[in-house]
Amino acid sequence: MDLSRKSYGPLVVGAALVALGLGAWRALIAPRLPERLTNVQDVVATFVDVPDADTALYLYGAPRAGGVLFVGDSRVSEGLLSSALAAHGLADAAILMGPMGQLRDLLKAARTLPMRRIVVGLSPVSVYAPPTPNLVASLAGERTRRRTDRIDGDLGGAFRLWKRELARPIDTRHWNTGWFERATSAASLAWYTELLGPETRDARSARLTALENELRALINDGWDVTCLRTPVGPALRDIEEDALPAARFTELCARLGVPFLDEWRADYATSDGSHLTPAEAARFSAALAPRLR
Amino acid sequence: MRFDQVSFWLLFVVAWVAWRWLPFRAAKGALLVASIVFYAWWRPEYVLLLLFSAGVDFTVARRIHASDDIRARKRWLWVSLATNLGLLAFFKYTPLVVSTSIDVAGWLGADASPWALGRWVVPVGISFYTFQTLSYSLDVYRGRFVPITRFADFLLYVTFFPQLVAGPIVRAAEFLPQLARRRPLSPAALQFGVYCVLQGLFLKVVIADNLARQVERAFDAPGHLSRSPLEAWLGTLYFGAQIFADFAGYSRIAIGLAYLLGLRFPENFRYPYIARSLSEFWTRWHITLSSWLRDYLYIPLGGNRGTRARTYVNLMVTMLLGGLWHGAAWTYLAWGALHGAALGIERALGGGRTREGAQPPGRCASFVRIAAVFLVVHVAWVFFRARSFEAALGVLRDMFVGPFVEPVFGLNQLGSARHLVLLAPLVALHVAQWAHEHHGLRKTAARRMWAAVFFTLALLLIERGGAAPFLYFQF
Repeated sequence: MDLSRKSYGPLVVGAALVALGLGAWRALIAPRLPERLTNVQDVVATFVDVPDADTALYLYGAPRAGGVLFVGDSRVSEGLLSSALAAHGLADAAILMGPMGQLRDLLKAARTLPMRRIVVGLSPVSVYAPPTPNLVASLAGERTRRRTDRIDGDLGGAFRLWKRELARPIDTRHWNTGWFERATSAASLAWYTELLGPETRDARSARLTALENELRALINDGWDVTCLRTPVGPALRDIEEDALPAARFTELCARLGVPFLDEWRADYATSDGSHLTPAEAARFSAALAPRLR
Repeated sequence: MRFDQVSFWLLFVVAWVAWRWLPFRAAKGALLVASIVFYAWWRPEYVLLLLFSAGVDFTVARRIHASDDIRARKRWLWVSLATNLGLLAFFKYTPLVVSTSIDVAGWLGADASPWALGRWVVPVGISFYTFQTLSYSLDVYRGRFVPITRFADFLLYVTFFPQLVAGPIVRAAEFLPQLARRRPLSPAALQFGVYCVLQGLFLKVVIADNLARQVERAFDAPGHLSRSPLEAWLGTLYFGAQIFADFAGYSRIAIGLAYLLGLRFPENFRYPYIARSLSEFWTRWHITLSSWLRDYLYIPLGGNRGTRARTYVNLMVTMLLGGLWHGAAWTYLAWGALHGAALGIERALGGGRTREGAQPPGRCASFVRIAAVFLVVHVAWVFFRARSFEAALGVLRDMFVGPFVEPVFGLNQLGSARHLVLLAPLVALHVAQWAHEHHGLRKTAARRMWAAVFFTLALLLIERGGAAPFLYFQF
């Protein structure tokens, strides 16, 4: 083929080489790449604004009447994969989450959606944690975002998902871990210790009481409520137990008379002691879906 | 809307189809509408400012051209200067003036904090389009260009979306004649356009965006996090690569888009890190700005025609204003001052000039010179990148004093060194350019094809670090 400037040959040959390279990558290299550090939902998130919320909330998936709504902090969105839930019979599932999302805000947002079946992800953080300055700034940024920026963001998100599906690209965030290091949860654990410190316990306890009232109100309004505790690493369990004993969640569910899927101590691998790895999120979703069907 | 966003490419496809297939006059109108939409997508209200700036210079240029009275011509030129520089000064430098006034008042014991400004929005691209419209009036004043009669064409020149928000700064004489007729799109132009776009996207999305986080770690780390000397050096090196990849990437995409539309833009970067002198660096870095400053500031100031001292002053003034053009912060001024001083020293040592008939430096001397220029440029980048003077001095201290007083690196910071792999394509591109300039390596269509295949695969196979806006949008 003519590869000079005067022909279209270079464009045609170039496109063929790209296709060939992509095929080789998918067949030979992509399966051997290390797992992604964090779970990435296979749908684009939509910002949900709740007045007086502490943090920005996001909805993954289309909310449909008759579907199941999962609510919780990042542990819920990192621990559940919509596609895995759908593959195991929970097709109309949506996830409403916030980074350090507070159940008080999440339940308010849930009431604006058409679903009447809710799975509430319980954790000491989602009951109460003071918002960090970054989260406050992020919420303010979301609220002042222009419509055109949202369109750009949604289109960009859809493109990223398409690219991931097509090419399974290398995630350069792995590179931040040095040559001689392993991914460690030490930093994450230190952060949780500070976040859930003793000075936050009274506020958390008060919030738990308020949460019970909010959940009861939901049940009275005809909602089908299930509580869920996602798995975490053993080291984090000790920190969480200090912040809010697990028994209090069990008692709460018993008083409300709702099912409690307590997977807190289940054996799943996490990327940072707190969030499930993507493969484990798929396994956890596959195990959970039949129980919720 | 940015070149690295899907929404832009949807707009471009529509604009491209309209430009290629509509009758020429309607096609120009469609391109103008696309350009306005492109700008309005950011903030529609600021389109009025753009129209105002264009309207003033269109009118001024016609008045200047129509008048034989030198004083009247000068008066009209002053209108253009006052309008463009006034807009630039108001929008870009008001926050600096106010914050400095508050600081000065504080030193004098007065509380001026109520003067503090809230959120200040600088119109995106204002530095670029005001320089373009200003150069139009100046060129007409100097008799180098005859003003055009169609305002729509002039508006298209000012707002043309590939170069509107971050250059290249295209002169009227380069662009407006291209609007006389539609150039056919040859296979060569199509290939080159696609190549430039892919190269630009690769530089921005794969290199610049993936280095951004490492640069932030080095420059914006909170005070309680230590930064080892290695990390300070790596951060500075990464920033040098990031800003080149980001800005040259943007320019490359702009040039490629223009090619795809059958138009031509001047080159804005010629692989600056192979420069053997600082004066050569400035013929390779942001070429359209440095040539603008040369033609409309340095030469009118007297250039190098006066005494030696006067030349140094002219150099310094030009670089200081070049620094301030980038933004309203003392760090930009320091960056400009460093370049001005270094250029002066280079000139005094005779390093920047090549005497006629003189032998070019040998391979070893060239390497030493390139390394020296690289070092000076990167030390200056510290001021360009740092958020404050104190932050810049902190990075420099870690770079130069740190190795003697603290451990050079720690295990937890070696992860940052992995990103060195991202510099490999930049090194390869610079080496290829060196081979092209000095050893006759030809840039054939087949070689470009292989490079484009590499760029495309890298774009597909490497995740983006974070979708950061182009750095030069803030200027």
